[in-house]
Amino acid sequence: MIGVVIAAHGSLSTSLMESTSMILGDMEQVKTVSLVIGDSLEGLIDRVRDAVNEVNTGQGVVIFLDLFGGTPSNASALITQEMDNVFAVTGVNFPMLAEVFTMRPGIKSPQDLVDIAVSAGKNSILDLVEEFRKFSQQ
Amino acid sequence: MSEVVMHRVDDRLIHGQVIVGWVGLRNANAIWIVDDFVAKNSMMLNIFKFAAPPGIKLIAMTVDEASERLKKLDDGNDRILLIAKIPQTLVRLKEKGYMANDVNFGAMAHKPNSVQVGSQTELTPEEAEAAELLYQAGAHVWILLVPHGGQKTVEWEDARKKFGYA
Repeated sequence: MIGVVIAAHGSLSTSLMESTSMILGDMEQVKTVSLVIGDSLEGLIDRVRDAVNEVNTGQGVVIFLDLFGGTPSNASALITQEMDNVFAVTGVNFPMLAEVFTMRPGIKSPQDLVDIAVSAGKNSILDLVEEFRKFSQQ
Repeated sequence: MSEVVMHRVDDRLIHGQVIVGWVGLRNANAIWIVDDFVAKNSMMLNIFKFAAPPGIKLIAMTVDEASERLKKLDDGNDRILLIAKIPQTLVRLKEKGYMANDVNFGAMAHKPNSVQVGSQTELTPEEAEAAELLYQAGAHVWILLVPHGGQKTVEWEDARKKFGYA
C-alpha cells in the first residue's frame, strides 16, 4: 500500500489521525510528524525522512501538510526532491484524509492518490447555509 | 537606493505566515538570506525560493558576498528583508564594516545549553554573546515571531539578564 505521512504544526497531525480513526478505525502505514516549539529545520527534515522510510513498503509515499511554505512543507519539499516516489499535498483536512484512507488500498501510484486528495480536499469546502438553501429550493 | 528595512535572525529562515507578515509590514520586495551554507546549497535555496511569497525576489549569499553587496546599496531600488540563521552572522558583518542598527529575533530552536527568551526563541550563550555585542554597539535588539499575533515584543534590554548581563 502507498505510505502516508502527516506533517504539521503543533498537534494538528496527531489530532487529524485521532479524528479519522473515530470513523475509519486504526490505519496501517501512517506516521505523524509534529513541529513543536523548539524544533529546528534540520531536525524536522530528519524526522520526516525517517517517517517516510518507515511507511514505505515499495509503493511510494504521500506526505500531507498543513501550510504551504511552512517549515514542515519546506522539509517535505526537499525530501520529495531527494527521494524517489515521494509526493506531498498541502492544505490537509479531515475529508481529504478520509477519502485518501478509503481509496488507498486500491491505488497503485502515489500521483493518483495525490490527485484524489487534492480533489477531495477542495470539494470538501462548502458554504453550508447556501448549499442548504439551494437544496431546499429543489 | 536600496534599503535594508529589517534584519532578522531566525534559524528556520523562511516559514509560512511568519515571512508574509514581516514582508507586508515593512513593505519589502526582496529577501536576502545571509548564510554561508544556504548560499552554497542550491537544493535548499531552491526550496526557500519556492516557499517565499509571490513577487518577492529571494537571493542567498555568503557573509563575504553580503558585506560587498551592502556597500553597494546605492545601486539598487529594493526594500530588503535580510535574514540570518544566527546572530554571529550580523557580528561578522559588523566586523566587515556593516552595522545592523535594528535586530529582530524570530524562531530559534532549542539546543543544549540554550535559554528561552521568547515563546519560540532560545539562545545559546554564544548567540546571547553576539546579541549583547550588537546591543552594546547601539542596535535595538528585540524578539518577536510575527507582527500581528498575540505575543508581546521581548526587548533584549530585559532578556539579557537571563545570561548574566547586568
